[in-house]
Amino acid sequence: MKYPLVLAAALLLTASCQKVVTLDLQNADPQLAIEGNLADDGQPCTVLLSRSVDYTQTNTFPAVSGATVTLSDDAGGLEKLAETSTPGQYRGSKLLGQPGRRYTLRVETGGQSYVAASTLPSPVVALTGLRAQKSVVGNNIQVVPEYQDPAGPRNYYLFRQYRNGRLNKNIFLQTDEFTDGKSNARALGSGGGGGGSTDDADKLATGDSVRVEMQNVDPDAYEYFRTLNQILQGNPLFSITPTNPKSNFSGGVLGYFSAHSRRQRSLVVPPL
Amino acid sequence: MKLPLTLLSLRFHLFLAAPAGGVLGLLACASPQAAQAQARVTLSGTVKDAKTGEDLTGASVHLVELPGVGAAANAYGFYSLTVPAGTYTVEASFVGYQAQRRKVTAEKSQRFDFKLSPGGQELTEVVVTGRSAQANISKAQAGVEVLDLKQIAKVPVLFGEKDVLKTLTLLPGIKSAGEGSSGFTVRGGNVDQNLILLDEAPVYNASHLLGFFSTFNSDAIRDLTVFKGGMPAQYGGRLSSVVDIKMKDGNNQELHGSGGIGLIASRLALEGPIVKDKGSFLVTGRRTYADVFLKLSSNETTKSSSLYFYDFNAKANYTLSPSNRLYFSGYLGRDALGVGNFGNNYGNQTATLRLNHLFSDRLFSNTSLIFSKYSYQINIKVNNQDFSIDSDIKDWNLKQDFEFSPSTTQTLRFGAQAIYHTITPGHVTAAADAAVNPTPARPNYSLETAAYASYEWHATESLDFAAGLRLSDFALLGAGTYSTYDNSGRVVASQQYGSGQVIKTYLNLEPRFAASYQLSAATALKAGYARNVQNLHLLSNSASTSPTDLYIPTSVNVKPELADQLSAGYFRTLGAKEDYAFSAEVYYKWLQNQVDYRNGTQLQGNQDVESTLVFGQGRAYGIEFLVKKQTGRLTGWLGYTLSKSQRQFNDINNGARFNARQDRPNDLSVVALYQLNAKWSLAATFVASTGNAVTYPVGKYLVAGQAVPLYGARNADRLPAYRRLDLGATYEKPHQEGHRFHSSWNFSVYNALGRENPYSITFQTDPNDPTKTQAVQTSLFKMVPSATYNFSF
Repeated sequence: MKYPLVLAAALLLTASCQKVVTLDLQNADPQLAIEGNLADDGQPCTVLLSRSVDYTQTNTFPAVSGATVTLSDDAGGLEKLAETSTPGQYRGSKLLGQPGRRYTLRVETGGQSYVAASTLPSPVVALTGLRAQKSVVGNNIQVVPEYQDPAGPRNYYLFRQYRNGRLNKNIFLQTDEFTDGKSNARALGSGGGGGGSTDDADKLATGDSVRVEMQNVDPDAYEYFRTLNQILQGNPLFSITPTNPKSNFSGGVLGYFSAHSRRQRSLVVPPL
Repeated sequence: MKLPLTLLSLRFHLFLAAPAGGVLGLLACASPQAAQAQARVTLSGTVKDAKTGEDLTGASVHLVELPGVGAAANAYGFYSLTVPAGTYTVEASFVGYQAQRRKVTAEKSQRFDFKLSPGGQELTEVVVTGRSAQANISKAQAGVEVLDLKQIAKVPVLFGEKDVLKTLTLLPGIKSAGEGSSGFTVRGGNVDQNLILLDEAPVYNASHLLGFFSTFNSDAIRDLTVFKGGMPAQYGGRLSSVVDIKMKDGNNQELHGSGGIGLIASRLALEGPIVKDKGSFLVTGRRTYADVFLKLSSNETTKSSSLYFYDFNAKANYTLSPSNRLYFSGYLGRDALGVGNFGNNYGNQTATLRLNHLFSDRLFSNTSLIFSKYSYQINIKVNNQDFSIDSDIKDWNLKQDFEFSPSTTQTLRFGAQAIYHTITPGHVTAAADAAVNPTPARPNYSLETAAYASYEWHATESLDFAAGLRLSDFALLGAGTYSTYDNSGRVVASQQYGSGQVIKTYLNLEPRFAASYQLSAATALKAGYARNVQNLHLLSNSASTSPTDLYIPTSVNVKPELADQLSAGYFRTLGAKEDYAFSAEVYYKWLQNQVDYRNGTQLQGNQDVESTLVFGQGRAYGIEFLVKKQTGRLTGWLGYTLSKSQRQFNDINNGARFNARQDRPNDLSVVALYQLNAKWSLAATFVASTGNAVTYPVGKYLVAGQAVPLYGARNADRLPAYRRLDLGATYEKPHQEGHRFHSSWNFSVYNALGRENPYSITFQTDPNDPTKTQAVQTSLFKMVPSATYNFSF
């Protein structure tokens, strides 16, 4: 809701200057990060375990092998996830994501255990269409996911966007807090104007093939990604005090576990 | 309520005990004078500028025959002096004016109005302080600074737009909230803990254009008084400071105009008599034209954007009879920001109606009816369907103040105030077929009342006391639904209240105390204690002030914020003409019931914002040094503050104490004004301070295919140090005899060293090498030159 302000700030930013600086940063002990996903697309649960590194190091995150990872559901299902050939990656086999079911992921490593639960939303709101439009601000092309929000309960949506097969790093979020029961008219990335990405490789052009993945997520997962976005997409003029995202894991660990739906649609950007 | 009283009396004892037994002796002989069975008469009246008719607040009226007997003109230029009958020479004086002496045979009480002519000093002289430094020595209050607009006009500022609030941040203990910002913090307090009054009307968002300009058009302002601690009891409602801004009354002798054409804004002011000597008016207007430049841009988005503000000030006063004077003042300001289908406009409106009435020559009364409103609106068009978000704060404020001068050594002030607040957080208005649903407006109603009494006593030649007590009450009223929450923010109970129903009240006693002891005519020691209560709380999720910042009232869950401040100071003037003034002040402040919100909270549009709040405490302490050079060609000041400001919340930072964002231990400002010759004057300011307390990453980890910064303790790091030099030069066209038209040029360079001061530092993946991350520093305003043409007639 402070979009206009952010835009005005963007105008001011043109008068400002930015430079890369070297800072003397403090270093914390390596911490465990867990990323668990279970979709309703017939694929089993996958979990990634890694450790944090110093901020100034390269983006190589040590894998955490040998952990005990178990997934259970509220219908009595239980399985142990096996570590794959990729170190730190764990994969289930028989428990699959089903709308309305609540799943619990348990990770044991280093003598500690971490537990998170996530409900795969039901009913799943379908992605009924996809259209491209000129952005309201700037000269960008944006994609509008078309779906009919069901009136009543609060719904949470997460979108990923691929341009010619390449993943846009932005995580797009929508809720029906102010749009309950409406058919969606919001474009992905309308938040900060433009495409929401500073990366030119994500910029859409006529003729591009765009794929959008829509997830129905539960409130905790939404909250995790919302607070994650706060630190990943911070506006330098409106910097909040940054804090780590709200994890749904117990035990003080980084990361999340999300059971969600997964629907996809593609389009070729027409001349606009 | 027992504790503050005990504290107060404790302070009394401590102070009396300190300067040895002699003080008690002096106290004992203070009264016989009053016991003399001689007839007493009262001399009263006003002190005004002879040329413009403006009230000279703070002007001194004293009797040459009775050294040490005198009075100061109040905010309305009124003074009252009760003395034994006799023949006296009465002298009225004010810095920058020729003193006036008049012989009087005072056998009965009489009215004596003074009109002082400006000047009385060499032309090359520039006076920095509005009040005589002597007043700082002889008054009980510490932590008070006065800025006179005439005198700060030459201080260079951003875009050449002179700005009282920004100049204020050059004083010790007062810090700018950020580069170019008109937001400020006082003695380690928060940005919202300053009571900003424009002719007694509270101004909620004192900034234009994202905070780069203050809402105050300096053409309309006469002076500004800031209380950093030890506020007199007639003020209340904010913890850290009171910034009392008085608008000019307007020239009651003849019609005058003035104006200016600047880099981004133009101003025009008109003032003159309604009836000569009886009433006057002042109207000022200002508008920026940054949007004109936007049209020149090649970028389509920029071209279609709007970005401007305007404001109007108006004031009129009329003397109905020798004992009745009526004032009206008003302010209207609006900002408009628009980009594409988004629009945002916001602003303040205030109106003050005041009646000065003299019940007797010793009892002065002022009655004020004040309206104040801050509102913002956001308009968004999606798929050709408009919807808007509206929010406002509305205050109706009735205030009655009395000032009673029983003798030349005593002043009693008392009064009462009631403010009815209506705060409506942002709510959506939309048509049924719009892309979003409307949300109902949920206004909060509350009544803030207070009664106060304060007593100033010039006990002896060298001992001054000021003691005050303010009783404040806050009542949250219906209609509305209010919930209580558990520790994690879940609703425990929810209750609906009917219209006008009292939901919750908080009663607080706020003792204020100040004392000064003059060691010599040029040296004084002062000490004070003050408790302040705040019932409106600002929730902001940005570093700078933002038009959509959210104000919430004290409620079922939110308790009144409290601050207790102890301060002491040493004041000294040097030189035959008080050429130099030096002061050193220490303070310690305890803050209770501070309000913050849980990490990651979504404030905007949050229907249940109280569930996200957490409460804690804070402390701030420091020492402030100020050296002023007040006479000669070179004038100015040097201020240095060494301070600390910390907070502690059980739910933030694992309960560990952390530095407040505005905690900048070292803070230096130097202001130098040099009168080169009759035409040219030069000015320079230099500011250096420790960087803001911020949170840097202590590592990074992998989530969603990205390197995510890992954050540790809150505000455990610092932005790099801040340094800035601003330069200015003013050329005054020699005045031609017989011509009314005056003009001057003001040139300035903001950040003349072109230093890239960090505004913020953000952390991101290196766009050129995704295997690396980097820290990016954003700087604003690298060297901004500007020129302003000013004129008056």
